[in-house]
Amino acid sequence: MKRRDLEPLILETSLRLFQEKGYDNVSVREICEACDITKPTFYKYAVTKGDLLELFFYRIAGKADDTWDDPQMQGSWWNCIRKGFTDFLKSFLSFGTDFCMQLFIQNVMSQQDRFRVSPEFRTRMTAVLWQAQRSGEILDDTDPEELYDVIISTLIGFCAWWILNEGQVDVVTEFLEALQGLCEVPA
Amino acid sequence: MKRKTSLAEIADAAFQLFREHGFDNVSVMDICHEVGITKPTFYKFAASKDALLSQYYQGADETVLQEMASLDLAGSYIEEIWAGTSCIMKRSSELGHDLYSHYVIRCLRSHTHPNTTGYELQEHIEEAIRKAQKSGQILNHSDPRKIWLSLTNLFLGTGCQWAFGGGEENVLQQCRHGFLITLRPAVALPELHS
Repeated sequence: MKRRDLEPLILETSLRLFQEKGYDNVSVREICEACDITKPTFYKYAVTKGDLLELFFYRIAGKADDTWDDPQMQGSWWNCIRKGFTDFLKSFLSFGTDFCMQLFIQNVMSQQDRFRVSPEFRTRMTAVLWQAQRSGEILDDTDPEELYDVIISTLIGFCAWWILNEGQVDVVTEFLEALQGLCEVPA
Repeated sequence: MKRKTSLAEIADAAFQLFREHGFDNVSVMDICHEVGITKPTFYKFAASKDALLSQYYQGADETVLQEMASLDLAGSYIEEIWAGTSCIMKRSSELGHDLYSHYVIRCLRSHTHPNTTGYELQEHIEEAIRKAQKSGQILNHSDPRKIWLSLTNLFLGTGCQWAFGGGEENVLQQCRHGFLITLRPAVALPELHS
C-alpha cells in the first residue's frame, strides 16, 4: 500500500490545536488523536513538537506567490522587493502571536537558528536588490547580500516587536516604511 | 539570622554565580547561601531568578543621556545616535550569550520589550537623527521616528538572532554594521572591531 503524505494533515491539525488551546497545552498524543494516526507515524514526520515549528517555518518560506520577483508582473523591481518581504511577513503573522512567540522561544532553546529563511529566497531577493540598484529604483548602494542580511535582521526585529506588543501594532505598514528608508526609494 | 541586604547586592552575587555555573545550574537557594539570606528575604526583593536579569539593565538610559549631550555639543550626531540606540545592546553583550538568551525568553513570555528605553531617550535620539539629516551627515532622510523604530527593531532582531545561536559573531559589531547601512553616513565611518 502506498503511504499517504500526512505532513499537511499533521501541520494543519496541530496549528488549529495550538491556536485553540495555546502551544504549551497541546500534547503530541492529542495531535495524533485528532489526526487519527499513531505516535510512531507522527514520529516519522517530527520527533518533537519543536520540530513541527521548523516544518511550519519552511512552509512559510515556500508559500509565497511565486511571481513575486517578476518585475513584469509586479510593475517594478522595488515592488518585487516589497512583495517578497511583505508576503513573508504576512504569512508569519497569520499564525498569531502566541504561536509565533513559541517559534521564537523554541528557536532560542534549540540553539539551531531555525529562523533561517530558505537559501533560495535569499538568492532570488539578492538578485532583485541588485537589479533595483542598477536601475536606480533604490538608491542604497550597499552590497546586495549585506543589505539583504540587514533587512532580514530588521524584519525579525519587527516580528518580535509585534509579538511583544501582542499584535497591537500595525507591523506591516511600519515595516514597509522602515524598508523604504533602508533601501532609500526616491520620492 | 537577620541581616540587611539590597537588590543590587543580591543581583551582583547572582550574576557571579550565573557566570561561573551557568544560569540553569544556579538555584535561588544557592544565591541565598552566597548572600547569607533566607529565601523569604530573597523574594522580598525579586520575584524570581529570571527577574534578576532585568536588573542588569537598570540605569542604562540615564547614563547614556550625558554621553549623548557631549557628543551633541561636538556635532557628532551619528555617534550620538549610536550611543543612544546601542546602550541596551551594549549591556546585553556584556551579559553574554547564555544569560541574554534566558532574558529574551523571559521578555517574550512576559511581553516586555528587551530593548526598552524611556520616552525621553527616544526623543533625544530622534532629535539627533534630525540634526544628522539637516547637517548632511546621513543620507537616510526618512521621518526620524521611523528611523528610530527601524534601528530599535534592527537591534532587537539582531539580538534575537544572537540568542537563536545562528551567528557566533560579536553582537555589537553586527548591530553597528546594520546601523551604518540603515543610516548611510555621507562620509564612511568606522565599523566596530572586536
